[in-house]
Amino acid sequence: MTTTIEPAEDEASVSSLISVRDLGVSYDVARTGKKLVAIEGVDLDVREGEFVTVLGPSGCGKTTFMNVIAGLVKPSAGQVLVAGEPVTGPGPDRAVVFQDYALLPWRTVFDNVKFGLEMQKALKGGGWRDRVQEAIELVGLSGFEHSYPRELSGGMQQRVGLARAIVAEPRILLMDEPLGAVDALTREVMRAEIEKLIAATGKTVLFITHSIEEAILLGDRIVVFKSHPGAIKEVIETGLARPRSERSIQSDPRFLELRDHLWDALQGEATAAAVSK
Amino acid sequence: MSTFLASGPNLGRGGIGAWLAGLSTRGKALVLAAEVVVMLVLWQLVVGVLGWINPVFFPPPSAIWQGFLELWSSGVLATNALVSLQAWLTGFAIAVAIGIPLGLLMGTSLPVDRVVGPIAWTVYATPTIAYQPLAKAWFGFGIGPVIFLVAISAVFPILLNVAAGMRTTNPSIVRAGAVFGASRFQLYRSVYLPSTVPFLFAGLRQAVVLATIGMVVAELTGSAQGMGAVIIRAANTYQTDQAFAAIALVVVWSVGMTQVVTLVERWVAPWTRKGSR
Repeated sequence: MTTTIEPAEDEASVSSLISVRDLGVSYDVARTGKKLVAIEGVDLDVREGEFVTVLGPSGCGKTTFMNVIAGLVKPSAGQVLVAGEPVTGPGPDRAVVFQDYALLPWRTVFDNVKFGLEMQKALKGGGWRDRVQEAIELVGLSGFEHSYPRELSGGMQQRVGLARAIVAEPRILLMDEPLGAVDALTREVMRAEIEKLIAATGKTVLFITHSIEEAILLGDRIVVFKSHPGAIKEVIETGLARPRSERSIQSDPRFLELRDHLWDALQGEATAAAVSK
Repeated sequence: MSTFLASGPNLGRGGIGAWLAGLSTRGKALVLAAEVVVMLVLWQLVVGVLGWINPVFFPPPSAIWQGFLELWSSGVLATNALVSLQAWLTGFAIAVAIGIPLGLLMGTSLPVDRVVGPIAWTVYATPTIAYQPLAKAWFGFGIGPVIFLVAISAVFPILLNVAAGMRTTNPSIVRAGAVFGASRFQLYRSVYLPSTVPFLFAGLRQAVVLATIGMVVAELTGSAQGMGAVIIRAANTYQTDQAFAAIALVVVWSVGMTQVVTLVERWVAPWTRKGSR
């Protein structure tokens, strides 16, 4: 292993599941009549089964980036290909886990997990019940099938969000700061569980975070965003063996090296963001 | 946590606030019953026994009970209560039949909201009694103007709450639906409508109270029948005990119907049930 931070090799687009080509998103701001550039010139290739973390200061456009891949936001330049097909809207090959969980408060855990399948009109046949039950067990919520979201802690609610996403069996899991709203202890536990879950299911993951430790602990590669306009600053291969235990990794020299490097990279960004505001 | 929240701005630990917040449902009912009994006893004592106030102007509970029995045995109560009931139920049904669909339309379509909204708020802000002379000109002297005043009093809280409920649907949940490819109809049925339900019931509770006010206002002035007519006739002939008895009955109806709305809400929308409060 080298001791320097090398930019990750450019992947051959043939083998990539997600290809982002010169992507740009800008909005017309009605009040000022100006164009607001959210992201600009983003290129990225993600292999099947890869866990990519997207790290950046708030307001750097990383959520916009994810929304384009999810099909929720139309790009104003460039394009996104998933399995070679251009993204024109949401599709069953992609599912999203939201920072604020986005659960339906009037539905029980079971019915919330069912929601995605229902919207995809995938409730034909009897098999879906077992799938929903399996997903609930996978995220460790057995026994809470009939609870309402407000009866659950934040961490448990996000487990429901996770189960809802994986039950639809997407190839790609898009996670928008999924642990941003849970407490520190729960975050640590769930981080490990997410890593295990992804390893077991082999999903391709795009995981957005503003936590440096989280980006290193979870990612095969880290995509660092800069702001004004949002664009990729660098892409780093973490090169850490799995499974990664939070405790043992804290003393790994590679982890420390990555952390220092990312700290410097983000500090410059955060300062620039603060000044331009 | 729930004790803390339930104690509201009374942030002191312990004390009567904490004691009240910690009571069971039965305990709370007992406290309420005790409050009523104490009030009635004091009232009876001050007016009936000590004679500090002239009972003609402010009859004691025992006299009101007598007045109630007189109204009951003479058949006046049954006839007039039935007329009022008919007007109230008809007017309320009209309000629901107009308020819910129009509210949904307002919440869905911004143009409809911009056109109907200001008109609705204007009429809602007008004191009901101002419409009474017009109502008579339009609907004659029978039950018509009463139904009109009940309906116009009850329709706006329903309409405006339903519209607000539609508009304040959590955009995050809408996005979650969109990610799973929900159609417009699916979003309407599975996201917007359920999210509006608590607002609908809040509107219905306000509507019950306002409908009753509208009914009595309409009946007080020149109506031959109804509880309002009973009140004004009794008061004009200094039979204040009967007037109070009629008022009490109207209050019981109003409070009772809000309770019915709450019960229906618990049945239709069990997720809205709050913790102990």
